[in-house]
Amino acid sequence: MSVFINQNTRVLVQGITGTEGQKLARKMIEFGSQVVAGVSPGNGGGWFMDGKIPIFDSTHSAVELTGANVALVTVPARFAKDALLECAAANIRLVISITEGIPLKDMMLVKRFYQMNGVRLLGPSSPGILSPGLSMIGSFPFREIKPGGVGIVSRSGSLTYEAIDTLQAAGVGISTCVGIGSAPIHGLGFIEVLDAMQMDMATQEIVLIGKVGSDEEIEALAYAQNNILKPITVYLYGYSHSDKNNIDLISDDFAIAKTMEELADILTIKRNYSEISST
Amino acid sequence: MRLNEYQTKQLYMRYGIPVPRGRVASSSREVQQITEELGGQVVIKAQVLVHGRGKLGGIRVARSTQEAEKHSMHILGKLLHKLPVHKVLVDELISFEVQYYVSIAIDQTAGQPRLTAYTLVNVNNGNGVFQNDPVEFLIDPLFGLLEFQIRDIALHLDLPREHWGQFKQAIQGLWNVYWECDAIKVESNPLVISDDNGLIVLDGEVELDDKALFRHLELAEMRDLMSEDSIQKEARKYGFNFVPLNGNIGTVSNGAGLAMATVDTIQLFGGYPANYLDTGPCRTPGLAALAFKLALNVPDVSILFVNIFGGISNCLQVAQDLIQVVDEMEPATPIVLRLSGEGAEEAQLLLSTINVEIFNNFEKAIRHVIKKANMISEVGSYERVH
Repeated sequence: MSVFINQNTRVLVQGITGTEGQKLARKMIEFGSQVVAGVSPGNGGGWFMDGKIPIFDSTHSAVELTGANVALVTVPARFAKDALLECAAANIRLVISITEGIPLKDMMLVKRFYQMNGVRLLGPSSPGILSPGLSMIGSFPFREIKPGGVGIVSRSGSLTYEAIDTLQAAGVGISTCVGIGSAPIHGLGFIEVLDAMQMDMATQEIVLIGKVGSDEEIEALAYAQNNILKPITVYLYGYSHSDKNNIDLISDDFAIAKTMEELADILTIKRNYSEISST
Repeated sequence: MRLNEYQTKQLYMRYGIPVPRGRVASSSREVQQITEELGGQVVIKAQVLVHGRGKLGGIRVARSTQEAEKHSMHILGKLLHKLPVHKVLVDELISFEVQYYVSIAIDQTAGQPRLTAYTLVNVNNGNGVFQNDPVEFLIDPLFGLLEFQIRDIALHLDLPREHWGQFKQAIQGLWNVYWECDAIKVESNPLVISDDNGLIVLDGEVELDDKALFRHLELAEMRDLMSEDSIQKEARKYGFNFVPLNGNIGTVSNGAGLAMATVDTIQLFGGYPANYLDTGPCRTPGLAALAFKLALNVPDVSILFVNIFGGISNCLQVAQDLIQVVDEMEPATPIVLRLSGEGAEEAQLLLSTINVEIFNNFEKAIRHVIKKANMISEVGSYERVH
């Protein structure tokens, strides 16, 4: 089990002929993801990686002919709106946008269109989503990741990497890791991901990485208090950037990690405890 | 990017929003001349990007040309929150009874624009304002601001019916500025019913989305370069996020989260960061080099800490850039790096040729940096930010 993706996830890469798109597609394949199509307007009919992956001019025909159901959008900021809307119009159900710096107006329109059509969006400025052994869509600089029971949901891409790195070094395995994206207006929020992790059998506990003083985090933690039964450990960043402090609101209900090592400590101590108590 | 008041008013005028007659001036001679043209009674307002100009003495009313000259000599050249006043706006003096606040700003959680409006009531002879309960709603980006919504605001504010037509025009204009110029905030504060001219916006604020300036080149040129220091200007040019922080440990990181966590952890462990610098994705050769130069030039930096987790950025590229900077500048400042992720091993190998210290572990690196920084600078001479 996993969140939003599984072994049947068929990935389409929009912008597969760009430097970034090529690099990411190769990495995803190395990781074991099923990359089934590329889209690059003007380059349709070509192939990526020696005839392995067909390239299409339109996302719609790529979906029709390859059965792609998840898209990674790597196109530059000024073309991102069109690319993201094209994915939703082509009936893709989950779209990951890693692009940084998309204008807010464009994102307002994209978000609205996605909500209307019930399409899930991760990002923009998302590192992507990964579930060890099943699929990885996006950019995660790890050769392999040990599966386990910890689900990670994070606003920050770079701190997602830190968390995976520290937890793996401490022997803690990951169920699914979801980057909601650090762009001010993004698709899925913490609450939707927490709900999905609550329902996921593989996720036993959750790590939430968010920004100090941000409304979305405050709302999500208030929601989690009453609705999420799995234990949550929270790592917040930006103390030096904010006068608002949401940590006081939450300290009784969640474990708070001030550093990544503390995060690993909390999870390993808990894990050992549960192992001991279950024997 | 924020616009100055005079630029905001030029923009408002273009969109059919009524604003007072007035012009911008940079000398008291000009102020005198404009005052005469406007009939002798004016408001002189400092054009700098700080809030609360009135309380800081940057806004004055003049009822004669002589008074205008006197006030302008006082305001021009004055420092408001460290920013020098080089320009003043000279507006005709408008008298009014009722004033309203109207703004449209982005609601990040909803992902939609939010309109807020309320009536301002003067208390204490104009020294304080009291606001009535506001009317607030989201605007659907697919449809924009609708006419019935504007009527609802007018009703809520108890706006006299004879002004509804003008009100509709002004609020529709504000929305058009917001939407067409890719603003993240437009404000009219206050919007007043003047004793003779009807509805008019006395002051306004516009903040534009930096990420959308590529499609508004004319607006991009309105940037007030006086409001940034030279390091901030440089940082913006390269797309970095930079914040000065008064300490002695210079920092360079990739990604907003990691950059904030770097500064947080330095403070948590008892150190004093000199700055926050998020380079964003560092994959273009030379980009990291610019970040290093920038951080090394921050005043009081006695040690540079580079914290990179390679992903979309590549540590090897960062290392190549660092070698270039060290060759070029031969900085006396010690440099400590923490490299992890994409390209970290290759980077470490490459950097063994120069005199820098490298760690893999985030926290060990920071503890080491703080120890070193404390040895170099006198402890206690820096103030913690929060």
